[in-house]
Amino acid sequence: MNESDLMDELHRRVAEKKAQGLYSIDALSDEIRPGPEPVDADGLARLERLVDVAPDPSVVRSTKPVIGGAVTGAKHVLVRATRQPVDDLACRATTFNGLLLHHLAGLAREVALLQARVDELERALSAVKPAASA
Amino acid sequence: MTTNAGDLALDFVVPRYGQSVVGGAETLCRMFAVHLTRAGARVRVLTTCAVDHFMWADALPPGITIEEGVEVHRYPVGPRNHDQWSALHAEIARGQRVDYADELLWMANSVWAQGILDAVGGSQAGDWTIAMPYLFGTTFWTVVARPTRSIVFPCLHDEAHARARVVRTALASSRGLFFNSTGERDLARTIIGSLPTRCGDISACPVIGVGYEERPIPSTDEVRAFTSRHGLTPGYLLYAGRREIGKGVPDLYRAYRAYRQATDRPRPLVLVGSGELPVPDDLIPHVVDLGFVDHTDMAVAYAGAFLLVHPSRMESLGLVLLEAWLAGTPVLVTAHSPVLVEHCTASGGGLWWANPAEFAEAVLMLEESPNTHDHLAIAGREYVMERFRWAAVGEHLIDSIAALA
Repeated sequence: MNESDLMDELHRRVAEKKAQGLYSIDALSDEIRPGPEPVDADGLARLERLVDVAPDPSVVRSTKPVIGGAVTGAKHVLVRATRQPVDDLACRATTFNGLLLHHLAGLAREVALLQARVDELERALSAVKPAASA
Repeated sequence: MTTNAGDLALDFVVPRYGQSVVGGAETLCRMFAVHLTRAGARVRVLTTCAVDHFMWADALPPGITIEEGVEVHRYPVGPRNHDQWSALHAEIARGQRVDYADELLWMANSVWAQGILDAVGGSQAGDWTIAMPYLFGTTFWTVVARPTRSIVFPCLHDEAHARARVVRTALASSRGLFFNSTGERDLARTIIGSLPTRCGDISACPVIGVGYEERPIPSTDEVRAFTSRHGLTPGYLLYAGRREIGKGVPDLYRAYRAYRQATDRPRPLVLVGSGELPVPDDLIPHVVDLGFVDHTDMAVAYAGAFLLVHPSRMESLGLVLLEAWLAGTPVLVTAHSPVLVEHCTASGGGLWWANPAEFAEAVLMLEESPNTHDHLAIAGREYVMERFRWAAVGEHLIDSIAALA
């Protein structure tokens, strides 16, 4: 068997065991190095859920007795009348939030990378110090 | 054309040097220096007193020593602002736009030595100054100081630093560019792009590689003695190199974990080399750290391994592959290194993995088929003996230097 046949055989084996569920998703995923997890990943995930800004149509409905129907109707008219500027504002706010979150996530990743680098350097430094003082 | 090595006076410039220094470019430099000295060339190695490649603190005394027959000149590391270098290094790594002045600042605060620059430009300077690798101030300032007589072995990796303008212009300015593999040369052509080059057509620049003398595969007795000394049984998986994120070691741990989960009788993972990257807690009982192993024992360490596993995508040559093959051991490399995969396809001496499942299955497949394992081992050794003999490589190097005159 040449190396090409061997690689085919290797891929066949992996596919077979994947079908049997013998490897986890992690084990089957390509090794694009993700780097360390960004700092405060949970906070970023919460922010991500709040990125989209959109009017909530449920608040239009009034439950006041007697006049509720009229109030709801008036609110609907108001919503329709202001839809264009409100949608425009919501769109701009969503874009702003998205860009800001993207920027924050980038910074959070950078902080994590730098922290990993600092840790690596500190370990290297502590390994050098005893040798230097000896 | 065959040039007499005795006609050449060469200064090798490398940021750190010595038999105990772990690093591809450093090892390559030492092999060249030793071989060319033995061949009769007048060789000096100009280097710093540093050993550690993170902080570059002076660790060895300055002065001249003779090491393996080579005249080694060590100089104190020049003043540098490590924090400034580190910040710029990280910015460039992330692909952020850094202006040319800051790139120069990056190089100014990289490792360098005034003594090296004085020697490079001094009256005792060799005919040629051969600097490596591209990433450090020692190489950059050497090219700046003496461009028309500089030869660079860039040992390029496909990373953002290689695309910095200071790096591109330094490579383009040097009189000669010598490469470790055709893959590295192709990368250099892409990186340097349309800049005018002093060396001419990069496609015509020589690919040198490295050379080995034929030596027997270590005997079973030697392997037994080595393994029993370290409390091992022959047949382990071996990683040899620096333990760093950039070398793909976390990927190796992830792959090794998948392998352990896929078999009832997993082989231990043996690590050789330096680095502070910790072994993940769950793997600690199964990983054996041998630390630094000297050159003689290293051949036996390779021979005792079932496979050499190499996760680094940042390779311009892959010395450890060649040495493992020479010791009769096949290899398993990351699919993300074009250079390593090229060696495997050219030799038929190894396989490659793109994810942990492939790593695990590759080991299992070779465990189930000893004939295939042996076939890979034989093919790998034949490849090194055919393509990487000193007699041919050394002659090619000397002729390539002479051709620049």
